[in-house]
Amino acid sequence: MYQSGDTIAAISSPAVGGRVIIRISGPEAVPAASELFKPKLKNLHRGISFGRAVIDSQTLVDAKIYFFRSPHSYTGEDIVEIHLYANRQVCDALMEKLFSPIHRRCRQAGPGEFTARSFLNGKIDLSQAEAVSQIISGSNKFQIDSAEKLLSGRLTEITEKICRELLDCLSLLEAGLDFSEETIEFISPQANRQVAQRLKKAKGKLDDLLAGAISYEITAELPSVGIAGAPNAGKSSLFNRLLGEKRSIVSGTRKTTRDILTGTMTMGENRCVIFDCAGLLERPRGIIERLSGQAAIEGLNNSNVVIFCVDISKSIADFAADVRVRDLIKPKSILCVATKADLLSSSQLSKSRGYLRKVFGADFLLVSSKTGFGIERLKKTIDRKIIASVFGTKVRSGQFGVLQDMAALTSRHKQAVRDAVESIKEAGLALGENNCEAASMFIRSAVQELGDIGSAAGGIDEQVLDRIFSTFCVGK
Amino acid sequence: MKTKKFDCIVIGAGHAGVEAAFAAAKIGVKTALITLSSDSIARMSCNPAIGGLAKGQIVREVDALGGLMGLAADATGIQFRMLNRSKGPAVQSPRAQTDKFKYSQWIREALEQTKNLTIIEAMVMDLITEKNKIKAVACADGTIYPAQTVIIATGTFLNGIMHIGSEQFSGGRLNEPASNELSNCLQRLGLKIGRLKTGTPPRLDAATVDFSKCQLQPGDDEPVPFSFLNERIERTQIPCWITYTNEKIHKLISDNLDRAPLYTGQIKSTGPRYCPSIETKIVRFADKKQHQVFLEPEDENITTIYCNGISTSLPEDVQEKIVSLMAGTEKARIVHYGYAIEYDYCPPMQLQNNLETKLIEGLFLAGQINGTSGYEEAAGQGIIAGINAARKLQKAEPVILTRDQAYIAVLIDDLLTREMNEPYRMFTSRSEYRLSLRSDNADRRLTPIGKSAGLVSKTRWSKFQKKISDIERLKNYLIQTRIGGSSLWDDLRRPQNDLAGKLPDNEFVKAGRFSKEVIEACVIDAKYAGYLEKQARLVAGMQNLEKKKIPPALDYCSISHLRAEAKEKLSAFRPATLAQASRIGGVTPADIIVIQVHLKKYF
Repeated sequence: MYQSGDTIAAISSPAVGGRVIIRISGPEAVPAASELFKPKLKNLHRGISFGRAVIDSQTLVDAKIYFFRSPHSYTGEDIVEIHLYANRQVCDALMEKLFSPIHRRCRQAGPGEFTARSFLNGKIDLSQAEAVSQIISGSNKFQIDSAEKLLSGRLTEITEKICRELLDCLSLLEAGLDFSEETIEFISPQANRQVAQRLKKAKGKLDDLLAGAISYEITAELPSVGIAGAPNAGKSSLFNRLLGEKRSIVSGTRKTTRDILTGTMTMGENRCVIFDCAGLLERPRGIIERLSGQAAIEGLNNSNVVIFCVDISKSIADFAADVRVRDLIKPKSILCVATKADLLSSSQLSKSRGYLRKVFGADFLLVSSKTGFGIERLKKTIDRKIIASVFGTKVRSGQFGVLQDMAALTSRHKQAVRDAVESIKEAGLALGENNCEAASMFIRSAVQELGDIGSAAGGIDEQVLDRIFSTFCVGK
Repeated sequence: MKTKKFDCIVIGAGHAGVEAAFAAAKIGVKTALITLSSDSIARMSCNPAIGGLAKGQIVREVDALGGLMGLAADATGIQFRMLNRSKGPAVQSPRAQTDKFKYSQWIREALEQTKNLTIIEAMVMDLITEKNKIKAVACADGTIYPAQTVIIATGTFLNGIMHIGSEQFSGGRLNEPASNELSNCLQRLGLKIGRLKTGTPPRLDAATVDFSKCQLQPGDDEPVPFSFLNERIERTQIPCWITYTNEKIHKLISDNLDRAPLYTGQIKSTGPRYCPSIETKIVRFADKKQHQVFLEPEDENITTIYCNGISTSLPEDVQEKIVSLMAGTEKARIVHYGYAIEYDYCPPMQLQNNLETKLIEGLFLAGQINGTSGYEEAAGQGIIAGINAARKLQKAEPVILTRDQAYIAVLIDDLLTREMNEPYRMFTSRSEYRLSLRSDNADRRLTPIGKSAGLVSKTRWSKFQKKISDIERLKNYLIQTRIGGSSLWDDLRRPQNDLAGKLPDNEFVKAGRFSKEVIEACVIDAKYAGYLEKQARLVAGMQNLEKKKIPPALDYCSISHLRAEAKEKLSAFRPATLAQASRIGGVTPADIIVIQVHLKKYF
């Protein structure tokens, strides 16, 4: 639910060069941010301050804090920006703290919400109104698209099922409250215990979901780019070149095998997971080669973009083998790259490139990982391909905000699930005290929170009454 | 042609009409209440009871605002029960069986003694308007009553058609004529009309019922009054009885479904799911071996019995057989047969928050005509329509209650933002503010509002102020007094040490001579304090949207990027605020932002 007047937060910029900005806007921005630091931020003044953000009991991270006092800020509200050099996990830990139910002062910002506030508070030009509306209505659509695409509908499928279960529990409780004058079997102390049992189960399912969500999220939320090619096609050098000095190796992600190296890369408008896998073999020998080859092929086929490398310096006659290697994979989107361009003269290059075009039926981008030749152009091309693959079409101008908001999508889901777990827990406690009306409130809250993931919850009371009337014979 | 001028005219003297007329007159505008017969003022055409789950809260709210219903029920109640006693205070509701004749009589006398109020027996035939403003009402006897505000509260009388078996006849209630001209008139004025259905069970001659075969259902030992003005109920209570249907009856009904208007297609409109007829119960829940039937006395002398639980429109001979097969009523004589009634209503999306129609200025609608059911729901709308008609005449801002203030507001807001599929009845589950909309604190929520509207008597106000200051005093004591590290206030939240039960024996409480209500208020406030915080968080932000008004003339179709579904729904409902817009089905949070952006740009 969009509400104005409360405090919102989001990881406002994907890690550009490892730097992350957490942006908090609203009346509670200062106290909310202050909680993240040790010592707590006191007398935050306009401009830059420094502090140490608490990640866990052992880890403190240096951060720059920018404070913009209302109305002199982007949104017109108090804004605190926390700038830190940190990876995604660190950011997530901080966001989690911001949203934690204990000192809950703010919530995850919705798509385009900072911009919307900025507009509503008269901070950006009226002529931009249309663009704002477009971003909001547009991002809504992309949200659904990407949610479905990235999570393969799995998350919503699970949460919807749990939602239905919660609504069933709710209608049992509500029937006991609103129809207690009827002679109905469900109004008994056992019914409460039954509901408590069912709630516990539902909570268990959500807990499982959360436990699995962390690694799932890392791979699911960013577009992925795979580097493929025959052995010695220059893949690893390219991988290192693309990630440069700032590369961060993401380890422990579930869907990667030992043979696949993964890192995150930031280009123009996007961040992606990039991975390098073992060279593809036409005829794998032995079980290990076959398995690692299969894993590589699967990873490549599932990624948004595949960079297919061919060593352009080798003899023209050997290119046929590369074609056969390429035919092993069925990528969604392929980008052909001729590596080791520094080894040939310009006339040799153009001759070999022409031949490559002929046998592959595709244009090759010339690069050299050694000199850096062509790398920037390659990055730009990857960026364009990712946008095209995520959005399915060519990107229109003015949708920059959409791309950023999308990255926050799955952490929002996670937050929703976490909130729901908390609410169900409280519902269980209230039920234990035979406080059905409070239990009901907490279950409603959980339904609402899970409802934020899938379709709108809308009219919980009608859904509950429908269930009661269709299940029980009530009414005099 | 005779004419007689009033400021406000109320058409219909049911539970909505009487509250509306009383409120308007009490505030000080010259009011006429037009009814077909003064004998039928505040008649209970359905069950002889006031209150019930969620409804009891509404009665308390009407009372807190300065209305009549609670006082009338206290004065004429014959059995009082506080429902949901085993549940939390938020869902406890008072209910009373009343002597329906005395109830009617009591209200009539109260109205006759009300300054500025004239009761007129007449049938309204036409509404006279000029440039979409109400000007006068015209009656069958030729009299014209000019007035700047008119409140229609005609219940089920508009084009009412009653069904008993294959028999159909025009009527608004048993033996009372329907009003067909008025419905046509509303349509002529451009209002849309829909159709709904409801029903009643047969009434029995009490002398012919053998109550020894039925289960006794006594009232509470200590009856709790509805009205905040009353401290206790002194009358002796009368019991109710419970009997059951059985498989013989179920078979009889199944065999006669081809004669049931609900199943032959004779009745086309929708009835309420929460008040199913006995034939519906038997068809829909065929596996149930018996259904409960409450035998409720309709008067203090127990002359007639209302069979609560077997509402029906089956033919008379089937009704007789049903009664003859039921334990205790084998030899009972039916005084009035059960019937179903179909009637016209005005889909309430045509109303504004103050219950005035969007189309005709000065024309207000209240009660069943808005698609609600229940005396209490009617009374709640009646008092608001009466207050707001008077406010309009006084050129004062309307009194608009908000969802966090009253069930009456939840009711009106739901009427204005929802598609109607059946007569609307209140349930506590309809309120997202359930923990704060309690029957015990209705006065704290609404009496100040009633006072500023000019409805609250001096007696009520001073009583209220005393209660408030006592609550404050006791609350301060509880918060400040610490025993073993924690305050008494915090201890009240922990049910295990039963501090609540011991509170009346506390020295401070004894010395302060706090009333039972004051102690109870503090105990409940303490118990809910933590939960209320959560409730507030859940609805946070809604408050802001409540304040954001939408210009009535807004053209939703001109808003670019608003989804087609949202355009359609919003154009139909025309919500008054962004909060209301957000509650309309099919309107998403993103739509709300898009509207906000549009409003900011152009308004």
